[in-house]
Amino acid sequence: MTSSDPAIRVRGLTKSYKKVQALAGVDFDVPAGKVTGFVGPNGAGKTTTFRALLGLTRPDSGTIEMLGLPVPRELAVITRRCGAIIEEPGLLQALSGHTNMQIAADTLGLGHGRIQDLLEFVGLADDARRKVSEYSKGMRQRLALAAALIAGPELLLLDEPLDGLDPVGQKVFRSRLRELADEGATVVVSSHDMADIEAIADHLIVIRRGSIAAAGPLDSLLDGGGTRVVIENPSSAMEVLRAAGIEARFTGSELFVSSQDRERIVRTLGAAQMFPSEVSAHRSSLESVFFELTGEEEE
Amino acid sequence: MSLIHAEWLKLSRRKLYPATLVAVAAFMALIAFVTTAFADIAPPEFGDAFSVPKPQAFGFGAQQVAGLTWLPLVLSVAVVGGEFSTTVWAHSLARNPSRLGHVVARMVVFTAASWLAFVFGMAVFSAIAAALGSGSGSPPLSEWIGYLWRFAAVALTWTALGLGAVAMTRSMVLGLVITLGFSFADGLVAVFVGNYEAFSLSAASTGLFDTGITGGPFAALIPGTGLSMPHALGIMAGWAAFGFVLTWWGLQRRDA
Repeated sequence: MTSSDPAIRVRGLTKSYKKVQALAGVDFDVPAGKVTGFVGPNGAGKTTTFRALLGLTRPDSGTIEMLGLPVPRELAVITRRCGAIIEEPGLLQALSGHTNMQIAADTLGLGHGRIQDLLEFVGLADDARRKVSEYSKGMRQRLALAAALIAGPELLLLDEPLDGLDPVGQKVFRSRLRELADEGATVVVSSHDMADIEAIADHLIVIRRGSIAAAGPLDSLLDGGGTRVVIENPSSAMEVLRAAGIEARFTGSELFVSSQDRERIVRTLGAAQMFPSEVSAHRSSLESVFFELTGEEEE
Repeated sequence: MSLIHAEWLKLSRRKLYPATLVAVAAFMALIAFVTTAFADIAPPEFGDAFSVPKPQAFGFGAQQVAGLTWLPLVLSVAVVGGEFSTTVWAHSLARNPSRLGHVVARMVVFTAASWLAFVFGMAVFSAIAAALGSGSGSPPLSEWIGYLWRFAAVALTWTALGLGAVAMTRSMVLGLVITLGFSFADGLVAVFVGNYEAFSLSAASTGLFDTGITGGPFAALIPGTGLSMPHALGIMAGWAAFGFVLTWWGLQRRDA
């Protein structure tokens, strides 16, 4: 596998549970060394996809490659290079955080040398001897992250890791993921919360009803394909632009112009003695892109 | 080996195991007192109380220990059942995808833990019988060694059944109800129903131990006292294989 190869390559993945089709021919690539957001409404197929990647569910058809190796044939190798959180943190509540880390290391066939460093990395060194049942939700999520990192993985699959965390917990968790990606790890984070993903992801995969609705770099998906103009009299400016054959609409003092030719927009307005205070690329929010792609109703 | 260590950590760091050891000690102490010492101190209104003298008392004690079939069931079902009803099992497989490795590690750990508890129970019984029981003498060393491997056979078979039940039901509560219900019913049916003793796991578990005791109220209530050693081992091998198959099938047939 070279650095330009995707960390994950999925083709034609299908999975049905009785009469419900959870995955209907899913194709996507996850670029290596980036944070990829895997988003979709509840029931879209996020968890089923994650489970299929890890060999926890058998797909009906399709192929999966992780780190250049086929799943499920090379799972024994892949799982030693990949950390995961699947739905819940997967911790033994009756045991301490430290013992949970020991069990994670033993299950991978590793020593216990990294445990202390990882507990410090997630800010749990002082609470390591307490039972997990006494932890807050945020502490459990951070412990689960530490357990997922025990092998120093090249690839992290995190299913809804930020779900239920308070804002401080989310911030800490996101910063840890960013650090890992900056160190070269590939991180895939699933969520149904767009703000989480927009804050952290470089790349985005949108899944809807078991099919991929969109995939690509976050910036390109959020690029609204137009221009945002801040001007004193947007209503008049809109009329001027429309008269020149440039489609535009306005909200408040902001004018959204369908054209990306900013020079022509400024020239047209200038000819009418109208001078914008700001002209920039129009960037959609991830939430609006998500609703557009998934066909979900905004509340 | 590291999978075995992981399973051992899961078991040994809980209160469940020490609690079962306390229960085993209390039960075996009571049995030892009632069957070896009570007759000597019983008031006259009890008449001729049943008593097992030494050295047969030790073989009788070993048989009673092997009858604690709830022990491997509770250990295996309680510890593993909780994993299936959460995502712990999925995370274990995400770290090590070898289902066979996990099953073998659990089998080894729960069998060993049950065996240790049996040995502990035997030690408690023997201490009380030696101190308070009538008669004298001790079985030869070969007999004591025989108790140890018989305990291992009982622990392995009932552990396999416990793991099989929990792999099929994926529920600690349901697994406990089914296995403990089976343990109770199997022993009862073996005593009271026709030829079932020839297939009963409870009968085989106690039938491995030839105590040489044929009289008294206890002998009639202990299933399997008349089974030959090869017969008892055959029954246990059959049930152990059934437990393995259940475990394997239960883990394969459903997603983690």
